[in-house]
Amino acid sequence: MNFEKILATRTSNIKASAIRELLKLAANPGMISLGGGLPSPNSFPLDLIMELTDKVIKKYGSIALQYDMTEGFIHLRKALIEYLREKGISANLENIYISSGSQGFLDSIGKLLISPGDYVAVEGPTYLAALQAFNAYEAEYLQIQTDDEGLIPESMEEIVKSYPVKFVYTIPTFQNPSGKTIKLKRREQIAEIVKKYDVLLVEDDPYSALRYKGEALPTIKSMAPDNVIYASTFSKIFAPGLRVGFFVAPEKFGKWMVIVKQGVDLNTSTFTQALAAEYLLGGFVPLQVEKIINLYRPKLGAMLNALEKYFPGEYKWSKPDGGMFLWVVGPQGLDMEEVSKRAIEKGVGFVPGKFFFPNPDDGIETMRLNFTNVTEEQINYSIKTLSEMLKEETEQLVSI
Amino acid sequence: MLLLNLDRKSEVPLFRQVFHQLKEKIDKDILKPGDVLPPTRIFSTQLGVNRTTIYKAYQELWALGYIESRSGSYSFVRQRRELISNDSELPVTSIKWSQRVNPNAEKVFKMFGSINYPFSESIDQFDGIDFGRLHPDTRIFPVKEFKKSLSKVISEQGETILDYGECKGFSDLREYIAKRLRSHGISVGSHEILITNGAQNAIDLLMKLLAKPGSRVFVESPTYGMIIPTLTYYDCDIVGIPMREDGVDLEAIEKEFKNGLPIFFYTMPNFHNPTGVTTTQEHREKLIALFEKYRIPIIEDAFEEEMKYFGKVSLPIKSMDINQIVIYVGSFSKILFPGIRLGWIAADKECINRLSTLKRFGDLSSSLPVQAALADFCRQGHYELHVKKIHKIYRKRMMLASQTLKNKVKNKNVSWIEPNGGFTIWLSMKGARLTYDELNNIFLSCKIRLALGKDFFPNSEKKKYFRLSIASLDEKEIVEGIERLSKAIKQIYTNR
Repeated sequence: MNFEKILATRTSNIKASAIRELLKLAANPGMISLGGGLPSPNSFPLDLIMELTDKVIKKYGSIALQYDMTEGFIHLRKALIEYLREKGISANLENIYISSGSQGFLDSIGKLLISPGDYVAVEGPTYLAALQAFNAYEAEYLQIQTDDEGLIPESMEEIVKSYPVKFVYTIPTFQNPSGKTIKLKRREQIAEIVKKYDVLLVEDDPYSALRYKGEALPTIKSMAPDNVIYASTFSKIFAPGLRVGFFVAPEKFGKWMVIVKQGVDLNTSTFTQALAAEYLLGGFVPLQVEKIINLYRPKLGAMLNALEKYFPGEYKWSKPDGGMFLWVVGPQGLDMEEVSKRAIEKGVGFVPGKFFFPNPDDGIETMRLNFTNVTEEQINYSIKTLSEMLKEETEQLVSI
Repeated sequence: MLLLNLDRKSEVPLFRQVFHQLKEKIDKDILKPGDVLPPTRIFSTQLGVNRTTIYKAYQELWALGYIESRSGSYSFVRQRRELISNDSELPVTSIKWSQRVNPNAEKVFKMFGSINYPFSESIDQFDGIDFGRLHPDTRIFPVKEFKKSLSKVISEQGETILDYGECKGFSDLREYIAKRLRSHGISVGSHEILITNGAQNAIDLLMKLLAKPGSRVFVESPTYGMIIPTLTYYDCDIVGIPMREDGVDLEAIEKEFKNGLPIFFYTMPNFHNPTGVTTTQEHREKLIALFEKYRIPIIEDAFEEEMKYFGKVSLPIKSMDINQIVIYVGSFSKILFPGIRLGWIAADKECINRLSTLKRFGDLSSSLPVQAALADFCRQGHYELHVKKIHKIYRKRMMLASQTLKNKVKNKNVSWIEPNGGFTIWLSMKGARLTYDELNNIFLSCKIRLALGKDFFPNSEKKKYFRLSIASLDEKEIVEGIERLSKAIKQIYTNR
């Protein structure tokens, strides 16, 4: 039967994204992909998972395979309270919840808050899958301006002052796609603004544990606890295949999220939650995170070096202290999507930056580079290859 | 030296006391920006507390922007911007959530928020005999075999198995499901299957795909309780078609067609939840013919397909689906264990492709290592063995329940439908002039819990019904529970 004609409007809004087509090409054998956004499988703690599986079955037995509360597995939530305290977030059993990965959280928050046509304010550029989750509920976007230090508070204030914004969505630390981090002073300003205008802010924080240098920054949540939902995940510090995320909501907010999640999947897999709980309780996080950092740090260094060495002078890029991404801005008039197609022919894949902007005309000359899934040699080679192509492109631009 | 006054007998943890007093000193400008705080080692000795106490207090101060600390160096007081409200100790809900949330979410919350679904915290603390939940019995879960499979896939497949999975689901598992479905007469390939986080996730994805605000949706009345809030959220006009002892009333469907065609029909032909009714082959043939005429999708929720342990086997509606109008939903939750949250949708590939896009943006994918472990578990033959095992167990339990009911409950006002499989028995209680709350209180006082019938009806229903589930009870508990039920029933009908 013809399903196309019976789809709900929210479904027709969702198109197979161009970025996926690109990623498919980038996955071809022999390609060096700077396009993905995935942690390196080399970082996954195989032996530890085996050990934790034993532990889970011994400790919880069949309970780990039974339905459980929608709020989340209680042992995991308790362990998270301690873990979050060290990050300076005070949580308790009444405001901490588990989601099916952070994507599951983004879907629930969209389902709960967004009616068709509602405004959501996001950074330009922002995390693509967040836009895709909110698209399903027919959100409209307002784009907050960013600079080298990420979100510009004045731009955000202008937007929340002038529009009935349902919430602001931000990734303050090592943002995907830009790798940028919002500094302390700005975080305080942002906290002030959300309080002043009584706005909800969603602080998505999947990457802050992946800090390769410098000091950790306090969360916006800690500065405006009643206006901020803080969300994070085990995908980057443990393994993405578990699909376990978590969030800390303002008081009295979580009960709606529970109603929504009941309808979505009743509860997140009890078994994987129990694994995550034992991961925290066993004190494995610091060691594992150190391993991941030692794996990624030299890759970031190699990419920054290669960019410095090879890239033409008209190009600028972010210099993050952590995370998984770098952001490159080329000269105006350059169409990075065209470049990316040609790059694939030369065996290098990356994602043109324009896909990360809600406004369709923005970011034409930008690109996102991921460094976690390639070796240092591959980084050097691919950046060199890209720079040669970009030099040609830039020369053509000048001659026009 | 920094002087603090700690009360060791207080319920407030020591680190909080340290934190509060330091915060106060900074707020009152006794400690000024740039002032250095004592190192944790020295300060803890001075105060006679554990070093981690000081460390935790500093962490909190740091998080709120009061101090700055560099690793391997001293912590000092920061120049802090004045925040508008400084009172983060007493959380006041500043945002009026009821006005902020999506109106449909608010409606769902108002209508269903107070229902004690079996997934809420309070329900786990019940110490009586629980006929209320459809949770399978943890005592018979094949835990060891599952663990073995998980260890095996991890050691054989390595790191890749801990990565994100394909959003359609792990291919080996989809292949196994396709094979299994073929044994039920459903001809389907693995590309026509999407793995979901249990049947509930399947239902949510289907509603997301199909439900349009204001459009008519047919469901059985009563129906699966959790689909009513979901349809309410998507703002559908829910039309309840009465259930009879032999299945949904087909004539009523035809009559309702005249009031407007639905966008889909949601049905559970096997062990219908909550009534336990299973329809005949003939009923299924007529049902599919009705919807084929108008090319209206049928969602066949077969969450207990494999729980047939009595009588004749009817083939799924999907097995007769020449025109690809049937969307089939299956689950491992009742037959194996629900805690891994795995179910699936089998449908036309055009439909599956769209659903997988929605799945990607909903939660990326279901857990890959768990899917891989389950696939291995099934391939090893443990699934089939377990099905046989639980058939034997539940056949005995259900026969016992049914016999005990006959022996113990001899009130002509109380009747039930004999199920031929599954876990549930649907009790009808006539002439009990009590509210559900009052009836429920009597049951609770007899230390049993039943699911309240009203939560399964899309529209209000005057008659009183209760769902009796034997899913998590063994034979002893079943007999004891029904004896308590019989006492409760006596109390109910003499109370009048």
